[in-house]
Amino acid sequence: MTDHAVPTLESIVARIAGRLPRFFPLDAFVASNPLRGFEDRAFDDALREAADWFGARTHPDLEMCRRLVASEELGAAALRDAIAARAPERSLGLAGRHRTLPDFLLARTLGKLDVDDASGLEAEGYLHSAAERLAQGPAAAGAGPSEGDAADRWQPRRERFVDWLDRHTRRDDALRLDALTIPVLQHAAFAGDRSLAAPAGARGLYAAFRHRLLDDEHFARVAARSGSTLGVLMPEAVETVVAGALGSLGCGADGAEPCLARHAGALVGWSSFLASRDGDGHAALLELLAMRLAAERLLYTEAAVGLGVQANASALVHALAGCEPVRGTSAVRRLAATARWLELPRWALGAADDREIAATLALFDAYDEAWLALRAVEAFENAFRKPLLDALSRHPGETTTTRARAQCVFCIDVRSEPLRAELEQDESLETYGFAGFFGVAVAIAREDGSSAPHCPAIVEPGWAVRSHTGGEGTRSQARRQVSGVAGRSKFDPLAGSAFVEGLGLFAFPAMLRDVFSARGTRRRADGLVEEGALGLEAPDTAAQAAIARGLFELTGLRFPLARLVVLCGHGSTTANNPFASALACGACGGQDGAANARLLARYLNRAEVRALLAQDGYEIPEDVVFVAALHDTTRDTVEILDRAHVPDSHAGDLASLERALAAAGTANRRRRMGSLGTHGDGRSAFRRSRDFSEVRPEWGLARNAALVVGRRWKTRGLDFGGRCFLHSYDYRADGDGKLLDQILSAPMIVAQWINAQYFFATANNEAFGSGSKVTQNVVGGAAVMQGECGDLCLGLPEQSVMRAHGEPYHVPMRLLVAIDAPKEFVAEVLARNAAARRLLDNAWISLAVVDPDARIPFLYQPGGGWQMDHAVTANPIPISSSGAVA
Amino acid sequence: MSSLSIVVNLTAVALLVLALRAHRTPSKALASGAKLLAASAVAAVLLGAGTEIAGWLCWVSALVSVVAGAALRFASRHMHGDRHAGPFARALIALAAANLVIVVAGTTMLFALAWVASSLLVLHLCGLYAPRGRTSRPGGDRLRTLLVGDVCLVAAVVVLLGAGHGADFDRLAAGSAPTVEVFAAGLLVLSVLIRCAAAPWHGWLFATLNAPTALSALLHAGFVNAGAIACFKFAPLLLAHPWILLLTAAAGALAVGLGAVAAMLRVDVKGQLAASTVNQLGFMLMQLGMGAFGHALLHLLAHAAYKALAFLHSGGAPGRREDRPHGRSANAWSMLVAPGSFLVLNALTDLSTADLILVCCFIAMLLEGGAQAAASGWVARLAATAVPLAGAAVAFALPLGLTAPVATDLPMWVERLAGHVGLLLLAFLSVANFARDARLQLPSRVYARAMSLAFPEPAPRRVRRVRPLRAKPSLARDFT
Repeated sequence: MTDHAVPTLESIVARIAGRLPRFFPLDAFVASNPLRGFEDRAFDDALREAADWFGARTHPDLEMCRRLVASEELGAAALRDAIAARAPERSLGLAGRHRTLPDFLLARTLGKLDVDDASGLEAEGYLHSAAERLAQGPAAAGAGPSEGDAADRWQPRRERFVDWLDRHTRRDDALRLDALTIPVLQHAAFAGDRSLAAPAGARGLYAAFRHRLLDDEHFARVAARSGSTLGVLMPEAVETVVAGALGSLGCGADGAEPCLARHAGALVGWSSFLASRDGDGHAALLELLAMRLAAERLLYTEAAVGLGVQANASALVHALAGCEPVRGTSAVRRLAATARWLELPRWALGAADDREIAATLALFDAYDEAWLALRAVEAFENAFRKPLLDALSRHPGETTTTRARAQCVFCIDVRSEPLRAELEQDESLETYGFAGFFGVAVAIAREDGSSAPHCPAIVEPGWAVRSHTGGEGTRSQARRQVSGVAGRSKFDPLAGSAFVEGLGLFAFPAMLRDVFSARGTRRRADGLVEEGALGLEAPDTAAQAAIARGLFELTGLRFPLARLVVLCGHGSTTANNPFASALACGACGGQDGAANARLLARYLNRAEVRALLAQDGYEIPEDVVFVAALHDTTRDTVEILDRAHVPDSHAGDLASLERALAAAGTANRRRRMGSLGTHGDGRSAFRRSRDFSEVRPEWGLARNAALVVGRRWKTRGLDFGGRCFLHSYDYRADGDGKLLDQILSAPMIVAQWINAQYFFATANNEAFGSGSKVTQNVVGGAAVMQGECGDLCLGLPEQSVMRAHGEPYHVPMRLLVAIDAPKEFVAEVLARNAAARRLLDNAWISLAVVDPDARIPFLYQPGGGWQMDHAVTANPIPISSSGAVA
Repeated sequence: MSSLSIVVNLTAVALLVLALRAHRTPSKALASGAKLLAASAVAAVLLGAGTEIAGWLCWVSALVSVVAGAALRFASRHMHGDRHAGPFARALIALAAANLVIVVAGTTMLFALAWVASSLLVLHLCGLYAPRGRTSRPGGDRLRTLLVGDVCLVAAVVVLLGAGHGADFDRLAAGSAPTVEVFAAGLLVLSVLIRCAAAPWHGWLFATLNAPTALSALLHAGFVNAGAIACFKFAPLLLAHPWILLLTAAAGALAVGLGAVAAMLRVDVKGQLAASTVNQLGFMLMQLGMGAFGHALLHLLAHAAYKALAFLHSGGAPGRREDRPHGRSANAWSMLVAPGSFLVLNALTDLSTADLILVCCFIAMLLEGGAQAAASGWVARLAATAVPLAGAAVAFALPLGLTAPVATDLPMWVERLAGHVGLLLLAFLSVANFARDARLQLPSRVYARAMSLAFPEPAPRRVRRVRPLRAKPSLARDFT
């Protein structure tokens, strides 16, 4: 115990901030890993640690796993294989019956050994003797962590004190803690032009909270009866209140951090909102924790007064020690369920060896629900990986040398994949995958002076362009003005009444219109007229050429170039959807990719840029025209942008390409509507994009599972079912591995963020998603919360990942990265890229290399090393004719 | 029974039948319910329009049908795959039926029955989504306020029946002892205030925000405004006792002020809408209390449609915050405009108090729009002038065309006191507006009061004794 080892409050809060997820506002929603602060741990450990930290389950529950096993048609054998890979094939015996450990675990996963099934428990006297012996004997130690005296004491590492209090009394303090603090937080963080201002002294969050409660009659009474005053319980300085509260909770130097971390984890939305807003300083986060600790102190002081004990944690724990908290599954249930599963005669259990019983019970703790759920996840991963790698490695070679009719570059988004597959049914068309911002890291300046970055969250926008809605007529201008006057009046108390009485009736026609034919809104960047807005320099010709070169290098766009090269970004059209930007392009920071595609097409069509590119060896023939396009993923339409810039000589090419795009869109739409549960010709996609009551306009990136990095012909003709990010890459053009390094540091990271977001939003939507859309409430325009007064929600809504409540559509799986390159080459690149290696070694993603020469897939093993992946598969992906011909 | 009420009551019965089978195919049932209500709206307008007696009934039942139809149609897709889709659809359809009955009930007993049924349905619907664990805060206590209102209404009806009043609304006027009537009217007004979420009884409305959006919209189709419908139906009773009316007006004015303050502190979309409902319904109650039944009817229709639609659209366009700081400046003189024009117009014209207040509100709207449009082009300036003027034309012309339940002339002294109430309200709102625009910092006590108003939560009156939760010993629990 040395003095310098005691951490300061600042360092504790900074460490807590490091564990928090990143917060993204609703108008630029970026899918990211809610457990990003735990990526430095191995996946299994990270999930367990995070579960404690957030006080929430991080793995899919077994019920969900069972549903997925049924809906994904995963065989029991595959599940058993995944279990057996981690659990030894040893025997498990009870009263003479023997089964293997993997069988026991499989039965538990599939619900054949159901500890919740209490049938027949009451009548069976034989269990008394076994359980009683257990309760007395030394075997009791193995009966579960919730047993015994020690668990009855409050442990700051496991829960907040309010949670402990709630478990021991009939109080609802966790909810009251929220009710005391969240209104103050909302007002302090989001109060704007339309709000009343807080008192002069209430500038900070904690100060606002203090002003809110200093005159509170009820808590003044509570304080007085506990022999204190509100001024003492809530001192002015933040550090003092934290120290005082921690002291009264009995948290010493090493108890402080877990205690504060539990509070941050229990209000993770607000904590990460404040931490993300403030960047490196964590003053607001500290104030938030001070506020929560002070409110908690008021509540347990009230409880202490009600019990007539001293107002500190140890006195309360002492007073309530006799009451046992509600327990988990007890030993007797586990024993009974195991006996049932073993088909053990009822009387036989009484004769069972105590050691056997204890060993059986210990298995329930050694292989808990999280362990089983993660094996199910692995089983899904294996079942997906094997056919994928098999198909990739036995794909016939490429022989095409003729010039393609058109080359289309799409975003790597999983929603591009089926459209690309449909498009490639036509052998004269080629498609490529590239990050949807096309390397154009730009921001769009809005008319009100704010700006939206159109690039991945890990990239800073280099410059800004201004967008104009272009040629606004007097009529629409007038309409905007009228709604401006109306909109301003409706929140003014005086004008509001006049507004309602005078104009409220116009809501009737609007209501009829919305019910019968609503219009969807798509945020579109129309005329990009002005570059260099916001004081940021637009790129000069050399920089434009550098951006353009990235396209050729990274995608390996095949020469000779086709007459038309289409750069196709994507966006979506939905109505009344707070999560609209979650359906837009993730690589464009939750915006659509139209502006980026148009800028790059503009650069590539410039003669000066082409001259510079020619110096690098990228000779672009005169007759090649670059065209920007936008894929609407809700409607599966592809719109050609800046049509006026396409010369007349290419009108014919463009028309035939548009026909192909329309046909591919129609086919993809029909297929997508099937997955949404409406069948027919797919016209309902248009209804879904307009309907203001629609909660599932499209599936977004649900079911994403893999990132395939390689030459397109490797995947041509393969049907991935819209589950793969496809990034084009040709290792032969990547001498020193610089490009692969780039792909592993940006697109792969973005794909992993998305994958992790969908994983955890499916596994525990209440904690890591944002719950059901029907009860969501938008706060401050920046986030949603559940109901009237909840935490800010960080993730995707239930409807984005579930067919219906409890029926997952997304399959929680970790990202598989499959690279088409020699094994040694990839290993070399990995040796240089510590961030990618960290994710791989901690098993947050898995990596497979399909060696082009050996044609055998190798799996990266955490820690280094490669293992040959046996490409034995029951149901291989068929390779369609267009692939074989290629 | 008029043909109108027969049609509407039949619709309600059909909805109830539909509700019984709604749990199996909730989406389909909700969509069929919406169609039924659309048909009922058309029928109500065709049958009722122009008839002398049922004029207002026709408009209100058309309103309730259209808004409820829109809410059900919305719910049919919005609730798809929800965890409580079945029970929710069933209760929601039944609630729409109860609201229709409230409108067209011909007898006080049926009215009270439908009123209580709708309260219980709302309690049930909110109970389905009552906060569990970390997601939200408890709302149960606040919702129970509704039951207090129900008890008041039932008591009022029983007192009236006991005192020899007819059960039919047509024969309500048959007089009895004035004290009994005053007692009944007081109970009635109390239940009306609770139903209209008049502050300080607005907690229950905020508790309903934990339930799905579709319910919030449907509440505006005949549930929160059932209070006003009660006032129209019991009008003869209320008009006979101007004191009661005056109290209603004062309570309404209080709700306007408190609702406005609450709206200035909420930053969540649904919370702002609910606070605005408190404000607007207060305004309607004030108009009722001042005898301006025509204005109140128009306010009821317009507000219900507007607010229900606003709730349905509450998921739209996040990030486009209308309250982002753009340096709104405040002029101390602006505080004087509304009360000043009230005094001037009062001296110069013989407009009624309700009309005067409305005129002052339109003046505020003109100034508001003008301030915004000053920097913009001519289109903006034209719009800023034309929109309030058009609104004013609607607000003053339509009540003449709508067949109001009763035309009234209140005694002079009531009119004068109502004027004071109105002036006080305008002054309060002007000060609140000024405080907001000038970003005046509230005194600490005012801030605490205002926050507890905007986030209503029942304050504990005393420190309760804490009872430990004693779990049974673990072995025994397994065998019992």
